[in-house]
Amino acid sequence: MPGHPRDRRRPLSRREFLRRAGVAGIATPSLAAILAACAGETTTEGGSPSAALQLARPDSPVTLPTQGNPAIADGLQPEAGPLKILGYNDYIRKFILNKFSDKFSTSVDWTIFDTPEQMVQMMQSSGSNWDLIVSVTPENVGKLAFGQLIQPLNKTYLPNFANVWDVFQSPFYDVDAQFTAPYTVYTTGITWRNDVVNEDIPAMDNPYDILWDSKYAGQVHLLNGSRDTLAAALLRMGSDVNTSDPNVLDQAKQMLLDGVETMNWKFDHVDYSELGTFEIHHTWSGQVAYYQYYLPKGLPITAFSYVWPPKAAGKKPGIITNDMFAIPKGAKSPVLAHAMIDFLLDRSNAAVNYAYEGFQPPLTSITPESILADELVPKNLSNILITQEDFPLGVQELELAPAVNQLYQQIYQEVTGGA
Amino acid sequence: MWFPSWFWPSFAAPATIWLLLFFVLPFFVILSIAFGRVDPIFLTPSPVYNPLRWDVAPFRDVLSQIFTNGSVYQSDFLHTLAFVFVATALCLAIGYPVAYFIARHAGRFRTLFLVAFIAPFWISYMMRMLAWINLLQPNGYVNRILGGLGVANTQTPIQWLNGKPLTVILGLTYGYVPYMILPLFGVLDRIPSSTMEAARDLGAGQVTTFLRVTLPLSRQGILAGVVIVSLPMFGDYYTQTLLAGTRNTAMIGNLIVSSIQSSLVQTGASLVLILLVLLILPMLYYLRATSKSTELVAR
Repeated sequence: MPGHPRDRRRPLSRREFLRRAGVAGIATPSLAAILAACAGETTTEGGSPSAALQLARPDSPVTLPTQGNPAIADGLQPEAGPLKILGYNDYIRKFILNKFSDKFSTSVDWTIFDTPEQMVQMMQSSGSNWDLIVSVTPENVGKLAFGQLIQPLNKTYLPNFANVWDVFQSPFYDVDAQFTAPYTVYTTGITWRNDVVNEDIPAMDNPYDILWDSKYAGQVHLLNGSRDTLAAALLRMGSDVNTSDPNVLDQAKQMLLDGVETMNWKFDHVDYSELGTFEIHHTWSGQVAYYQYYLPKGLPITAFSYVWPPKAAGKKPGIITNDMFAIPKGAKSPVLAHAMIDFLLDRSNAAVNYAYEGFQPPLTSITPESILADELVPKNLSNILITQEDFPLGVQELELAPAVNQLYQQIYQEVTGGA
Repeated sequence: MWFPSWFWPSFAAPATIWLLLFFVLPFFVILSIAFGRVDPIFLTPSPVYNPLRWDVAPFRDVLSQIFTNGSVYQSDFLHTLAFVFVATALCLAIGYPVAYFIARHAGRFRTLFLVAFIAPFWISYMMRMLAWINLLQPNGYVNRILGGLGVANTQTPIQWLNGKPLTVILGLTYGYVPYMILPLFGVLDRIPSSTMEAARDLGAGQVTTFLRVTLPLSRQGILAGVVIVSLPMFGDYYTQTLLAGTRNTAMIGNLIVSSIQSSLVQTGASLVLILLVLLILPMLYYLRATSKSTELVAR
């Protein structure tokens, strides 16, 4: 169990991490309680109160605390703006931003973050500088809400929330969707060049094995980021992608280090800009939707295939997840932020946005059939499309205890060398 | 004309304020993060500004990792040292003849040549590296030319961009070579022709004149070029990211960036400090050599 925060003068050594994570693992499923006990009376260095963080799991849903952190009142008029967004680069189509600006006679300022950790750092240091985050994931929504860095949504401003898939009307990581509205959904799978890779990857007992197949050394790219890189090994092992078991994590690390040695993987998530330079890529389904626009001369889109392992012959586990909107606490234009969320939950705006972004909006009226009919995704890649029925088939990368989270990041750094 | 005693020293004020604001203060913040604490929930750094409360244990951990055989920190440091050493040597090998040619043999076209060689400065480093990505792609011009010459197999093109140390070294060399040419040109241009003519009059051949006159007199330019080129190379990370992106080519800059972008900011701050100490050594050597040379000239 982590010591009292006052005693934590330095990050834990690896050995200490393993020991503590091990204790936490033994105590599972009471990890959340352990953390709650340790973090319950914490005041962060920044001075903002941190309520007892609970780790949400499908069998242990979490209602995020709203006490002392109310949503905005009903019936307010949108502010003059500008709407200040903290988001991944280019994650909303410029056309949509302009359309929104015209409709609300405002402008949009966009500040970029590159990693979820960076977003959390920015939110903690100056979160009230922004009105909307695009996006938050289930891995960090808990700490943002328990740390009171985001505010509850007022659904009276979100009539289009009714368009959202049922699975997101009350997700387990945010019961009643008090703080979040879903933006996009995607799976994590494997894409490959079917004109040069001979193996029938979907027919393989374990499709993840292809990422370690030395026949393709130097031709395989792995997704970067501590969670996704480690997940490749954990999923290959058939283990939980949110495990805190130090032995399992050690095995995953060794598997990845072996792969680094034999495969000389490249770690990135920009496969659409590298078409022609890889044969196999561990990737997000949303990225694959871009391929058709970035094809090098002479390479047809039909040369690419995608598999999400839960739907392959071996039915191995695979990641399915979602990005979400959230509004920072202290936002200067919260009504405008609600308006932007609602704007993107509108069917026609979401469809226009999707045609450029490639990451699918989880709206009931946007179905795989309608997307294929609109020719937004090539038919040979139709399996990148998702329905809400796919969610029970997959697993999600979820929030980890801080000590475990840091261990994931240390392992990731050890595996990639920072590359 | 009389000036108050503070008048001339006050000219140093802008630079002093600049250094205080943009070097000393940020450096102190880095120290406060490296020796500070980590938020227990968010894992964000909590700087400790009181040196009496600094905790050196995290820094010591990082330092010990660097001296642990096979550790990722050690391998990244070794990659960095090797890449920077080879790329700097290549910059010198390419830059010196170019600077020599422009300074001594370009005649009335010297300005034109100088502009041509410096032109890459006008394009951002990132754009130049992105251009290399196009050139080095499997079906890019480099492979096509090599295939045309029969050096490479066109059916199985060389994968330049999939983690080759050579690609990173070439990228670094290409990116920084103009910085080597400029100081060398400055020094070589200032060597009086009469000095070389005197050497020739005294019976020295072309090679001997170069080795015993030109080269020693251009030593300051070589040192300046090496320092100017190698220092930013040590902190470079995007050349590797763009042209390789594998663990086998990762440099210390990559480790720092990945630490800062994750929850290992304290580790990143420690690595910055260690890199700084590493870079101070060649800087001190350069300053000592320059001051000795100035003393010699003064005599």
